[in-house]
Parts: sequence; structure tokens; C-alpha cells
Amino acid sequence: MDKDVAITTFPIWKNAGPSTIDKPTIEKETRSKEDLDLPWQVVVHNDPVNLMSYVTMVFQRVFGYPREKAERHMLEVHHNGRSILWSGMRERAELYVQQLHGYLLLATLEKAG
Amino acid sequence: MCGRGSCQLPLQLANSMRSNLESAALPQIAVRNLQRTVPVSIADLEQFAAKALRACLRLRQRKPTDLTRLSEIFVLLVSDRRMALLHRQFLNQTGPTDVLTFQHGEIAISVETARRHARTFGNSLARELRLYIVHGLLHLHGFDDRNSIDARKMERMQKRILTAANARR
Repeated sequence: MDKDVAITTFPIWKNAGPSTIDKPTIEKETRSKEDLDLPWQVVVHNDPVNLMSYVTMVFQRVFGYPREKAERHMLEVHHNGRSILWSGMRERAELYVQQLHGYLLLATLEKAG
Repeated sequence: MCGRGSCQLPLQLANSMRSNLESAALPQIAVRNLQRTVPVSIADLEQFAAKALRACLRLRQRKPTDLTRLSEIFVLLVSDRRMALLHRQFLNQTGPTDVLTFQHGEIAISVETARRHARTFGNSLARELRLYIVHGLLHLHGFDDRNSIDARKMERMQKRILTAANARR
């Protein structure tokens, strides 16, 4: 049984490809490092449906902000039409926007700058 | 240069400035219909709300109240479903209620509950809605109904404001 087993010390991959390797081509990065580092902003927009107290409560729940800070943002939304609630990494910002949509608030994700 | 207390304005000018200041300090009140179940005349309610607001502000309180601080007040007419949601979110209680007042100047009123209560107490829907507006405004002006003494006092004020606002043309 042992005679049937072919054992080779020569690596198989050596025969698999061409003998000469092409010079690797490095594609140019489409985004610069600065672009990648840019923070993303969670923006909440004014809407005629939600109560001011409700919006304050949602800000406190989603972002864990103290009441005063949540109220400040709520009033900014109410008077200026929008407020930047949070800025940072995209994944986290996406999660916040998703949570705000769950509370039926009008929220968007924007790139800073 | 005009120092504090040393500047005298002509009486007419001072009076006109005072009246301008008073009108500027008066908060705006708007009624928004956020439900489609019961038809309501918004214009009539808005007119009444403005009169009731002025009557409430004439009641002097010892300390400044939310009503004196606010620049705008919204009366929001909502459905039972929306009211039940608010009732749960803010007071952790099940089912709709007639009126909820929020410190930012929002008075949420369930029109469906108002209609039910109007039938029970033999009132018209318009009168019931007016009663809730006054109730909300008085809460914003520092009145409370958590104990029976305060509740009776608030009820007396409610009647007084209702009469004043209904009579005023």
C-alpha cells in the first residue's frame, strides 16, 4: 500500500504558474489619507410632527447626552432647521442614524468639511 | 451718554416703547391638526387660544413660569393612538388621555378622547377642546392638579379663563 503513495519534495506551485513574475502594478488610491480621516456627522433635521420633549428624550437615549445638551440640540433643530448631533467614524455614525430613524426622526449622515 | 436711571424719555415715546415691549414679550400660539379622525375648526380654536393665552398671562405668578419664558406655544391635536404613545413614553401609562402638557410649550390634545368626554359630560366638542387648551396653558403657568386643593384652585381658574376668553371679542 505504501508503494502507491507518491511523495514529492518539489513544491507543486512551482509548476503551476509562469516561470517569470510580472512586475506588480499598484493602483493609485482613489481617496487620500485626509479623505479617509474626515469625520462623519450625524445631522438631525426639523420636522413638523415630533414633539420637542420627545426629540430631547430621543437625543438623551441615543447619545446619552445630559438633558441640557439634548435640549440645546433640540432647540437648534427647532430654530435653525438642523443640528449636528455627533461626528466621528462612519460605522458609528451610521448606527446612530439608524437608531434615530427607529425613533422616526429625520436624520442624515454627512461628511464633514 | 445715558446712564442707568438718569435718562428720561418723553411720556408718549416711553408708552409706545412699553406697548411694543409687551407685544414682543407675548408668546405666539398656534394650533396644529395632526389627526384626521375628527373634523375640527382650527381657525376658531386658534382665535380662542390666543385670547386664553392673554387671559392666563394676566394672572400674576410669584415666580416666572414656562408661559412667561416661552416665545411660542403649540397646541397639537392628535389621535388616540398618538396620545397613547406619548402617555406611555412620558408617563409610563397605558391608553390615551385627554391632554398632555410639555414644558417646551407643547399641549397635546387627543381629539378622539375629547369627543368621548364631550358626549359623557354633555359638552360640545369645541367646548371640551377649549377646556383642554386652558388646562394646558394653566399648567405652563405653574398651576398643578396633583392634590385636591391645587386641583380645585386650577379648576376655578379654568372656569374664569374660559369665561373671559369666550366673552372677549
